[in-house]
Amino acid sequence: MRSPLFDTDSIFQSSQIDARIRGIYQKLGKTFENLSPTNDTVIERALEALELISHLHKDQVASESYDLFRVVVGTSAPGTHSPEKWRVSRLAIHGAYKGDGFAPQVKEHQVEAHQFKDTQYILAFLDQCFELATVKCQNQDEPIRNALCALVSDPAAIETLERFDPTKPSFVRGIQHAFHCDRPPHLHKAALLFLPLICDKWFNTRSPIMGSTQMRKFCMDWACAVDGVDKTPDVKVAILTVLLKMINSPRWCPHIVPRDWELLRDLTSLPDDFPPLLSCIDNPKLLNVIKSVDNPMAVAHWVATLWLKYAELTTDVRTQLEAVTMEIAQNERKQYFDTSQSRIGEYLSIIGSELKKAKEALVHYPTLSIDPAAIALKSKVGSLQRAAKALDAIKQGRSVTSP
Amino acid sequence: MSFQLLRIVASASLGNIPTGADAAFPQWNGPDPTVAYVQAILYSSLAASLLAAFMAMLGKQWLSRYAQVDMHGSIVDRSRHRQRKINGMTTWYFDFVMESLPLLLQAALLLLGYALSSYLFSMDKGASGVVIGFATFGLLFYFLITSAATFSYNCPFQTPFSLIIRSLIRLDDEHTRYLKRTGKWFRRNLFTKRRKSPGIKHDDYTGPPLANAGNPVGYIELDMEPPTLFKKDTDWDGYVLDSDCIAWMFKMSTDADVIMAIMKFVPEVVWHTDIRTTPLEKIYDTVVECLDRSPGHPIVIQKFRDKAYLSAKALLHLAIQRKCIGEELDTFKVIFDKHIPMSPLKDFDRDPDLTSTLGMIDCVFGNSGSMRWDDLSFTPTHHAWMGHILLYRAWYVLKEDKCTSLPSDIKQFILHSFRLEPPPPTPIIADCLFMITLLLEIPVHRDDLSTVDKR
Repeated sequence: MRSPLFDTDSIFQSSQIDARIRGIYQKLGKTFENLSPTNDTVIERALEALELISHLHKDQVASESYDLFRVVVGTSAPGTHSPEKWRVSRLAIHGAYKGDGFAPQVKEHQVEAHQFKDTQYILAFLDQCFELATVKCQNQDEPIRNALCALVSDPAAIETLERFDPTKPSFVRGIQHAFHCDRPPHLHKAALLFLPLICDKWFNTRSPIMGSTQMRKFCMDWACAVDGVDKTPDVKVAILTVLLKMINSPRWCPHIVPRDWELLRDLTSLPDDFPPLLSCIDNPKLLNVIKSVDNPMAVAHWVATLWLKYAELTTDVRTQLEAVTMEIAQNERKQYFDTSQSRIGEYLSIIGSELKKAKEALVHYPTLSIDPAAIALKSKVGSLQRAAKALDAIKQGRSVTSP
Repeated sequence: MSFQLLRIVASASLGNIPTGADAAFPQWNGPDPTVAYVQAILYSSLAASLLAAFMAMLGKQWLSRYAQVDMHGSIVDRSRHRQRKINGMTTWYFDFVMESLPLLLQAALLLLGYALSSYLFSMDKGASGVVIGFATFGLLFYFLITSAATFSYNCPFQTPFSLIIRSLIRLDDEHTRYLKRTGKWFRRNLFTKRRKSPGIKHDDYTGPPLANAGNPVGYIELDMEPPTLFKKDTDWDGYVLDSDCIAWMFKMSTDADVIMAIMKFVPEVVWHTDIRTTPLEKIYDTVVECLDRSPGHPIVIQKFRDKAYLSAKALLHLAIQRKCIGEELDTFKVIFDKHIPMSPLKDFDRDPDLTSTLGMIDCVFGNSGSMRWDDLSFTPTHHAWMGHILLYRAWYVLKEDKCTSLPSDIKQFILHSFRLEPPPPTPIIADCLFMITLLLEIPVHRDDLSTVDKR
């Protein structure tokens, strides 16, 4: 037999594959830079080639596709070639963000002395996709998903989005479309990860961005999306961020689907300085709102969360918390003989477990360490011990001594 | 007599002029000159006969060596060995030398007849007439059968002269085709030179650096002729030898194992333009033999599965390579006319390797153009082979058929390969990338398209 198929000395080393990919993308770049009506056949061939190569799962293809996307979105195509421009953009962004692994970093570039963020290009592209999906009823699931992934993977996206208005009707419609129940899970996941980037502007606006019915519908779609995706750590954080923002918004909180309140049980996995949580625990009206929710687990989980942050609570909130907990304890005393299986016992167990974790983490630092992490841990241990003491007092029917 | 003459000359030079009987010139007392002449011819006849006998003995030894069978190696190796011997015989004109033996005998007979006629003519004209008559009749007969055999290859009375004359004027179909091919080769070369003259553009080169700016050695453009598809340092003569082996084995054997060995061997060969004939139609018929056509749509007979797979691979490899270089278009037409779809309609994924090969045969001969690659999960070896075959098909479709896009079967294959998890081996990715390169008309290095390294 002649040379074996998988010979390592074969001329087809990875570097040569990479060179070939580079060559193909250079040619595509040159073709799409000039979308003139005179070279229609060349453009058709190039489109076909891009359609094929964009499916190759290689990091280099992702990077080259992203660069091509920048080139194409940045060009000003003649009117007749505008559909081609968006088609190329869709294929290029697919090549860049199709995989769950490697995602090319969104870049900055200099054009005529102005600093541009590619985020603006991606947002322009997303707008176009939303328009096609919501107005022209075209299937744009894949491009929307890819654009959302690009924004999520962009560390500069938050800064750019500050100057962007995500509450404009077309954009809101697009996001609603992405969360719609019949959309595929990979689009739901991208939308769930993206929503935290704009949730401040969505849930804390002076005037509502949508009507009450639409809010209810959106919350149901969001709940549907949450149910359908794998709860990886990044997804979990995104979900809780949005949930806390919704809870903290008087307009949105009533529309939260009851089963979504049970997501609060994951709050213990969040970092101590998680901003949305910190802003929620400072809200004195929240506990009463949650008490009125049609899901008993809502208040249970929220009280547990507040007990973990006992020392950081404002006096108002702390008083409310103690009152609610005492109420729970009294009710339980009437219902249960063995209080170890009560809600209070559960809170104590959660605090005990968190205390144990904090102490174990603290062991790795010297006693007199001035490391900020060690200081934070010591503070957390102190806070939890005080919470445990207060909770124990409530359990035994005594009044809690204020700190 | 010479001594007598010398003695007269010596005496005269010494002043003793010989007289009388001594002065008389000696008289010839040997045989008659006619007899000597006839004897010389007869000896020549004898020498020719003996030489023929001597060479016949040597020839027997040579043939004995040729007939020795080397039992080492595979069928293909043995066939190559045999083919080398037969090629040596052709190169060294063994048949010509062997054919000269009867010629020597015929010459000896001619000389004998001439000598006898000449001798008897001097003795008795009447008696010599009988011999001359027979000799003339023989010569005339020989002339007639030589002429008949020269003008008709099917004439059974072939003589060495008729074969020599035929080989000199090359009248058979094979040689007519050879002359046509030679003319075609000249025309093509001239045409290529004219087209290349403005200079090759190489702005888009992305591969290794060029040998010099004006003459990018090693790079090819799609405008160039199909033979550049093959690697430059390919062992062309070796493939000619291999193709001869295959043709001979096909001719000499109907044994199932031999047929399987041939089919396995066909994809090993690069069927380039210098290979004059190929067993394309025979291989097609072999594939058809493995199919049961009674249920309406052909299905593969299970006991012939391996034969069907190997022959289908051989057919696809050979057909695509020959189509690619524009050879044997007549044979293609014949197969097009009699082709019936071969790929199964149901249980598509039962035997993915065979199904995909038969499906591609349908695409090539039936222009069906659709393949459900995503339903198939073939072996990596077959996947790589198929990728390489489709690279040739892409070349053909884009270059020869002047299509502006790849056919659906190739596009689906590329997408199927690119989407695979885990990704397929590097050679498959390389082939798919080359297909895209061809589509974009990017100049490629001829080594990139080497068949040797990717099989």
